[in-house]
Amino acid sequence: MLDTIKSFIETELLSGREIDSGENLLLSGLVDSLGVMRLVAFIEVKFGLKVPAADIKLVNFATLDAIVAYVGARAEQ
Amino acid sequence: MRRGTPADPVPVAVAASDAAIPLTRAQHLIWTGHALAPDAPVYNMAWRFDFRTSLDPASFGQAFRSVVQRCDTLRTIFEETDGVPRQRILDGPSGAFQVLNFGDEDAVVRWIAEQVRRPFDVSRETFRSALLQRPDGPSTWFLNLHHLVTDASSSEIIFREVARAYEAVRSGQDPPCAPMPSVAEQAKREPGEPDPDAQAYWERRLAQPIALPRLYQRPAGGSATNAHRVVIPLGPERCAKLRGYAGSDDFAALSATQSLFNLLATVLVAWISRVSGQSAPSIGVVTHGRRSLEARRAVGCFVEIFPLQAEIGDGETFRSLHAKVAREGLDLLRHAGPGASSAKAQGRFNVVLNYIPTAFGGFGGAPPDVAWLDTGHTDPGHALRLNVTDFGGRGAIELAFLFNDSVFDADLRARAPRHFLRALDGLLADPDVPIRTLALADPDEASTRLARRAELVTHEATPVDDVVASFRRLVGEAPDAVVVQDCAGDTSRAALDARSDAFAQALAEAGAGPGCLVGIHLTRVSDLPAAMLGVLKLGASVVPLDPTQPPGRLDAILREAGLRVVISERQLAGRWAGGETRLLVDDVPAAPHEPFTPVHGDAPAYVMFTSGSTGTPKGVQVGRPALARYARWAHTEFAGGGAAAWALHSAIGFDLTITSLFAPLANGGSIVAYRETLEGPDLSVLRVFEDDAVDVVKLTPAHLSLAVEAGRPVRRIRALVLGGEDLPTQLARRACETLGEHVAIFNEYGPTEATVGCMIHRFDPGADVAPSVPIGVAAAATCIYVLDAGLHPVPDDVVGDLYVAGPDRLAAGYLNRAAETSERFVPDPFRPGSKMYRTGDFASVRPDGVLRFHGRADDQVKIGGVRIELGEIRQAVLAHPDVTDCTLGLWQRAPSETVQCARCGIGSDYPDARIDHTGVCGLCRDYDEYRSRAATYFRDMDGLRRIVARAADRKTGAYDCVMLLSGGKDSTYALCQLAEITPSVLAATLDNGFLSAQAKENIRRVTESLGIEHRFLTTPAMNEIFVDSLNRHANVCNGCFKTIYTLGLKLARDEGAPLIVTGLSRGQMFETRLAPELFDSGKGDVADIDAMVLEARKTYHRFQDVAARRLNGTLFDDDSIFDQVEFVDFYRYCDVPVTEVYAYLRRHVPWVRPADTGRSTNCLINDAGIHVHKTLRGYHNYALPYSWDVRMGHKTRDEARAELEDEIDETRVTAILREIGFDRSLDAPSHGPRIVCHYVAKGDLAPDVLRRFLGRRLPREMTPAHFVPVASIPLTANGKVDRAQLPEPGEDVSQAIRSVTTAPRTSLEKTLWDIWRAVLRRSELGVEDNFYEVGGDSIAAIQIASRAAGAGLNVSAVDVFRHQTIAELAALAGQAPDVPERPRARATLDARSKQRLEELFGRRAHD
Repeated sequence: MLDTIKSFIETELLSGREIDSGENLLLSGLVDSLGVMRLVAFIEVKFGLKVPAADIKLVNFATLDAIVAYVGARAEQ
Repeated sequence: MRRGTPADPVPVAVAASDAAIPLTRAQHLIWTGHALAPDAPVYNMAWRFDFRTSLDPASFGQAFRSVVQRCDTLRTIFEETDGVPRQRILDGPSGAFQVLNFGDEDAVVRWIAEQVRRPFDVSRETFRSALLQRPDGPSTWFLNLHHLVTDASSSEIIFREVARAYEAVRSGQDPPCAPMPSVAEQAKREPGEPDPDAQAYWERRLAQPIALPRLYQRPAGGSATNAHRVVIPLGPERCAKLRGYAGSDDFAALSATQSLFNLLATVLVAWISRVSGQSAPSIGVVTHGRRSLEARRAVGCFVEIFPLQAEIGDGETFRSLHAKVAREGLDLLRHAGPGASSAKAQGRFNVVLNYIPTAFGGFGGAPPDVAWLDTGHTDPGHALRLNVTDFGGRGAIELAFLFNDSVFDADLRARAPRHFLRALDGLLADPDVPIRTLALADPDEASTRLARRAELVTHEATPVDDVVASFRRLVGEAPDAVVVQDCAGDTSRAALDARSDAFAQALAEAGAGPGCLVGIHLTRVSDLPAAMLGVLKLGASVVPLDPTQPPGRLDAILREAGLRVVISERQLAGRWAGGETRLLVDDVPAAPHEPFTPVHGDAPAYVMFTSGSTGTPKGVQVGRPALARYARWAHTEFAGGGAAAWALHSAIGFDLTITSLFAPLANGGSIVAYRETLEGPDLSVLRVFEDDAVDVVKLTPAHLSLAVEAGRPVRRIRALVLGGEDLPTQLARRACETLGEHVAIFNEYGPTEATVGCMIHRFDPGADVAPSVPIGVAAAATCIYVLDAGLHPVPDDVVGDLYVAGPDRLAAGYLNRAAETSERFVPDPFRPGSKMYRTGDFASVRPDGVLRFHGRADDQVKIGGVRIELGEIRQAVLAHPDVTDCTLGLWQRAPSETVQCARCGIGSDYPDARIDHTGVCGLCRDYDEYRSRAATYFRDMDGLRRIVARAADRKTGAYDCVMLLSGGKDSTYALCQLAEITPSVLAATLDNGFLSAQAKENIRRVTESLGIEHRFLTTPAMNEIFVDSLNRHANVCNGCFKTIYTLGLKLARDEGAPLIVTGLSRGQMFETRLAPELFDSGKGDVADIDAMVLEARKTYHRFQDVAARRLNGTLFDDDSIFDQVEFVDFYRYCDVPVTEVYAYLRRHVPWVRPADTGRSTNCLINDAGIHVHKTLRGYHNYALPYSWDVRMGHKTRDEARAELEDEIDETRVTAILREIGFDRSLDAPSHGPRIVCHYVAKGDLAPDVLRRFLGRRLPREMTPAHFVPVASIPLTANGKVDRAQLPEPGEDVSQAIRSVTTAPRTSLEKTLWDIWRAVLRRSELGVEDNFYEVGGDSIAAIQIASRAAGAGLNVSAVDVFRHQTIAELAALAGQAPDVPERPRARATLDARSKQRLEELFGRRAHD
């Protein structure tokens, strides 16, 4: 899962730039709201889950680690 | 200004490669906008960077050029090939760079102001760049880019790269040379189609109907591009607060940018809602559209605008709205993929929020001052663009309001930002305050002033003498003066005084006394005023009881009022069965046995019963001081304080009638009473205008319509007082025209609870141009407020709730209904200790203090001036034993209620649209079915060549044929082709006086280049023909076409040419002649069709309209002209796709699409015809032609819809109509709202049965016009009736109810059927249909009667009410022997085809 998400972020959102799993994507400005929403759409399709609007916040999407943790928790529900 | 060095020449368009790159969707939208207004600098994005120091021009030039070389976007131009725009990358720059030297700052400012507005020819250049130098002063960089190649982020990237290159050059290095990512590269990488998820999302969103908000009652969209920018820096305090919110847990989003955007979008949506009344406004939000890191570094136009909609409920707070806006914003971003923005989406907003997070950094060591320059123009579809910027990146947010001049005038441009800031401050102060309660208005706005003057009004008011005291004083002054006239004769003041004393005494003897309620159940005779005065003299209260109302309702009022004594008359006995004591007027003597001393007392003067929502009427108790004050004011205002005669003609149970009784009684005037007929509708008002024997008439707009419809000039009547309901300006205008200019028309507003009338406006035909006549200004001693939900005055021109207050102004409340009384009579915040009345009406205050009326807030409606609670009707319907549920509503045929055919886009308002459940119209279905058979009608070009060759043999002059050239694309193409067949063509164009200059220029250029002779045909009778065409066909095209054909025939005859070639398109051929019936099996013989067309053509020219009378001469005295000259339609022989037509024209002739007219027309009068047709016939006259264009593939459905929905400039149209002498007023017949009842019943309960049942229980005006049986009443999620899901009344519904529609059987029935269809605007109608069932009302009855008279039938309006079907009416009118129509022979056509043939050539004069 981590690799899938990482690869999406790096190729689709960041034009090939590599990221660290703890790197803050949002505060650094690397990924913006449009990018997050592209990622949300990707996650929903790829992992077959629904990301409610209320979950789209900084704490769940700031870093690759956070995203992976969120998706993992969500998938278990 | 001196030209400095170095300067680049304006580039020559040399292609770097031949590869033309398609435009992105975002660019496409801009391209379209640019093409619509190529000369307006709408899409100029101009910047001014003021540096701290002087820059080195040579280094700057080198730096700038290096960036241009690296960035292909700055080397891109745009070209149109075959109607498709493409971008092309050049070797060199696509714009100029200059260094200019200026002497002083003024020169800089002037130069920039001029440059900013210079439009770009994007096929040559897309940017201009200049370094402006001052002697020994700092430098300024001016950079102007066309939006096609840039957006705010791109501008910043260019700035940053030039800065980097400049620093490199200055430090002796080479500037960077690696190519920058470009939008062209991005475009290639984007998928062609949006992803299905996004597509589905937008389709769903765009399918929802939406109404654009009308800010401050202004038009929703602009009509031009001119705009003004108002810049408001938010200031440090607001910015800090805003940032605080943006960073707080409650309001923070994914990024600081998104947080600030959400907050400002929330305020914008809230503000729009408040100043437009729109509860779910949609705004356009600009998204940056850069989907990857690389895209974020590219130069180009990426931004796209998407609609964001949020609903604002009654108690909505900023906090709750913010949550909705934030969620919608994320949803939008998720579906904002490439290609997701569409032209349709752009039509869903007229306010755009452009939150620009771009910040500009340093240049040569220090950041410059950055200004995004105002071009003075905006997208014409946008009423407002709000740009939010912080270019310095220092947190100093600026709001730039770009106001479209055609929506916002200077006054509003000053006020609107203040209202916005109050909304913003409201959020910053407390996000939990309901948005609808925020005070927005300025202290100096007119609505605020109205509230402020309340105390002064109260202070200055003086009491008025009681009406009885005033009347007795008048008796003493002139006892013999006539005070009442009726059919029985004249009554003097003294006689009335004595008779009213007798009434008082008789009442006392019958057990009534002071404080009692006394019913008055009388027709309008002289005893009516006597009885009323008698009740007042007794110190009792009058309860007027309308004798024409049905017994059931009368009983309800009697019960509610608890009446013990009722004054009535013998002929009304048996109209109710109650046990009250009845005092018959015949039993009351002319004078009392002994003098009666009046009692004053505190009892109300009258208790007027109005429709009540609970199902029972409620009584409004109006006090004597209020009646006295009103009667005095009405006398002064309407009778000019003189002894005027007033017509008493309206129902006594209606408070409108109070005016005509008490204004004269208490002030020395007289009453002329018109007694009602007890059966059928009361048409007394018509007698008032026939007699013309009074000075003042108080009436409703519905009454006035009747009078005007039947009308003729009056001499004596000098004042009309309109009350009861909204007064349409058109009606007032028509009344002036019909009755005479000397008649003053007063629009009086007032609910029963505020004593008849509390506001007044004298109609001014010159100044009153809004659709409704204003309700004006407060009456004497009256306070009027227009307030928001927080009871603050609303800003001027904004709709709010209307309240009335003032000393001796309001009723004492509702009889026996304390709860309802305290709900509507509420504490007046501007006059502490007093009450104000919540009218439930909406109004707005104009800046000059005049009020406009905007309808009702609640379930209460007004039909024909009478106030109706739908709840009361509902109770009556539910009283039927078979009805299990029902819902009542208002229904009005409106354009917004139409649906469009899914394939061709024709609207359901087109009478023959027949749209089925799959959304496809009958015309498309028919066409599917017969198109293959119809193909036999068409021929190939060889056929045309043979015809032309034959003509060449027959000609007696120089020309083989005359070509009718409109100058549009179709006829121009046809001429080109024809010219290849024969050079001996004479082209002819009708110059109808409104041909556009560019179209004429086209015609001249094209015929010249083809070497074809050309003539303009003219006639001095053109305007007369237009007027006749408008009167007969409600369009201009029919007249124009007949003129073309007639003059064309003359020309052909005079020139000896035996052939006329027309440019009629295939769509027009289908539309006007190729009816499906012609191709029924066994038919379809083309020779037959041609014979019929020729016959129709002969009939057409013989028909004596103005064109025939003025143009025919002896041309059609016999049919020989048709032997001499043959007509052929070019496109019968040529089938060519529209793209090929355009491509051909572009390649071969100097034809350009005219830009000085509307869309597909050459003719400037076209809009006038469209406007008249839409108004009189209720649909667009191009609806049918365009549907055929779509079927033929010559237009897309969207293009057709867009053209049909184009707004018409009414001012221009009115001027044209005046110019040609068309002076008919444009009131559409019978189009007011009607009550519709949807009901659920056990078994089969026919609408007619239910109608008859209600007829015994409700007054006529309360009986629904439409009854629609349904299986169940649909509910919304909230449990409210979902009105959108209810079937509409109308043709489909009535057809469902009536299994059989009986067609007219006799010519008399046919005549009446035609009249009914025209008046009632229904295409489907059976002769057994009930007049009311199909939407008839009094005005319709009068129109039918007048048109029947025109057809030689003796049918009165009353006959229409009594004989409610065509069959019955025909039987009545059928005095003369009646000849049944002959059965149809094979060669004759049915009515529909025949009508089409008769209009054969008439539909449109464009192509």
